[in-house]
Amino acid sequence: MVTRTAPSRLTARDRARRTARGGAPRSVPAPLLAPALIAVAFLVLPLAGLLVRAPWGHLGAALSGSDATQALILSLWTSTVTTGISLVIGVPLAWVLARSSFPGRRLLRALVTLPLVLPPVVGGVALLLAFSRVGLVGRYLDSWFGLTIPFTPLAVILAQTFVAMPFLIITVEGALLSADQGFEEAAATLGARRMTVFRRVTVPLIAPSLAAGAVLCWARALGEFGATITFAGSFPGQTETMPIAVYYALQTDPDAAIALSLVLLLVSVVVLVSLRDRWLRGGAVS
Amino acid sequence: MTGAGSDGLAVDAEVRRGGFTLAVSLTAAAGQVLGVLGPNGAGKSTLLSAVAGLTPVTAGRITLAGQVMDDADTGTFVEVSQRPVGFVFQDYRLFPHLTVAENVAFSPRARGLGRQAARSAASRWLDRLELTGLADRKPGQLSGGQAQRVALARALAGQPALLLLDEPLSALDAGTRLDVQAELKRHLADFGGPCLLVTHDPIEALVLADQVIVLEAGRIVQEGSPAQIARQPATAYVAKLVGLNLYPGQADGSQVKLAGGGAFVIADQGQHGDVLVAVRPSAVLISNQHPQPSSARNTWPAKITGLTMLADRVRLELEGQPPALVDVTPAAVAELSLSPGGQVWLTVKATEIEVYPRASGQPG
Repeated sequence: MVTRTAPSRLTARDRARRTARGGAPRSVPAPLLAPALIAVAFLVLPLAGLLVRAPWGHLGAALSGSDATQALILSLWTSTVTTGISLVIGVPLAWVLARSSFPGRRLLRALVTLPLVLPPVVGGVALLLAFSRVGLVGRYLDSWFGLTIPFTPLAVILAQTFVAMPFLIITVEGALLSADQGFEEAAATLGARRMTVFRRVTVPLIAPSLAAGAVLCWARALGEFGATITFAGSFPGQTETMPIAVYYALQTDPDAAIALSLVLLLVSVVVLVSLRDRWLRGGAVS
Repeated sequence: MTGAGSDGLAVDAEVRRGGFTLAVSLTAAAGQVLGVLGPNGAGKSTLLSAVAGLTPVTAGRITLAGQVMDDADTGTFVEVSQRPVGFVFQDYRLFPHLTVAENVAFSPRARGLGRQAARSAASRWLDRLELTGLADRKPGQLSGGQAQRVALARALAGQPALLLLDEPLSALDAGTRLDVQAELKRHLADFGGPCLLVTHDPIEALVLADQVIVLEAGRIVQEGSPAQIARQPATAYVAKLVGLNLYPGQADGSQVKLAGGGAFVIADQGQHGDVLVAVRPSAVLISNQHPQPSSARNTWPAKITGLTMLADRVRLELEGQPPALVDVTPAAVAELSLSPGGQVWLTVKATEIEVYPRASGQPG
């Protein structure tokens, strides 16, 4: 029996491409194309709107007219400190989660990653309950050291760390899990004790993921809003970070809000570019 | 265990991992290269990792230079990093973020030398293995043979009392393997301690090792000198590796009744009881008709079931009593019109047959 074939047209360009790369047609079926385009429009249009509505003529004035500089500086340094703290305590935790075994490890892992899905406001409330002057830990800090955390820059840092550190932890933990442990074995046979192995072999091998996790953590800290405003409040120059400044500016001075948003957008683009190897190519990159 | 000597390695241990059990008893004297030959999954790598301290033994003990490294009964265990062991891994595992010099300096540094002293120790080893020119390269920029040498230098730079080599040449292409093998043999001769060399390549074991043990399914099935292993394989696996026909049988003075059917007349009159019979594929003559009475004592009919081209000859697989592998020249294949399904006669001179006792409990 002869099956009738239905010839279709193949342009020279498509022909050349498919010859070179092989494989199926690259055109997208209509039932997939339409929703995909809607998704693209939904993601891109608001950003485009931001660019269109930006007060390009008096951007500088719009920025300086608010507490923008103060807020930006506060955001930048607290995010950086947050990232530093996360590296110092988060990387060891990632190692513990990836490399050691003890009862309750899975539970601990779930707890550590909880802030990823927890609404940040809830995180803020929880921090308040722990560190306020009458909180679980806060009452001792207050009575022993006279240290009051809420509504200070330190509170901003704690709120950001609570929300952003898990991003670093899961990134590094993933890298540790997928890293070739053969190198660590080799280091051990060469006489390296466990701390030496960690310092001279493990960390250098996961350096790209470590950097990516740190950038991710920093970006998340920079964008933190809910936990910060709940736990640290919004005192200009003290605890009013960029996102909070944007929020308040929108109510009083929309141009300033847009200008501030543009600054954050720019920072995000820089972050994205610095992570392009990891994300833009879609697949896993060593 | 005896015989390891004060600088030697003695393993008398069991390692159980899931359903697999490695149970070995071996010694390697200082300066001796002990080849560990066996198929994949025989437990060769488990043996190395137990000796290195990467896997604790389940029962028994491991001693090195008179010191207990691991003893399941007393609970003694020396951690990997504290064992005076140099390990050359199959995939080398050179640290990709360090240069060749830094890789080689790693062990001296980790074992407590200062930065400067470690560097100069490394440069001595680089010099000795002719790697000085590559000192500043990263492992990614090395050829397979160079990486192998760096791995050896890195292992030796820690001044180990014991050297472990896991399939040291298997990652190399055939072209460089011979050169590297000759070089490795030289360096192994310079090494003063015992050396355990794991391989599934019989040539590697035969060329590099002073003594060979054959590991199958977690047990030692044969041990002996390379020449002994090559001439008198104890198992079908070893026979296949060294390219011999091997038949278990019962000897009765001048004759061996083969377990799988058939019999051989042998020259060695003194053999009785369980024996193994080894015949080289090139020692078997092949003809189309029953050969005229000749001095050859063993003649039997067989059917060709397969032909494989080897480098310069053709290997025939034959079904008969007994079955055999026979090597002939391509010209003979053409002249005798040898093809699958063809009926032929095989002949072996009694003097070409190697007969030796079979250890009890050993398979054919």
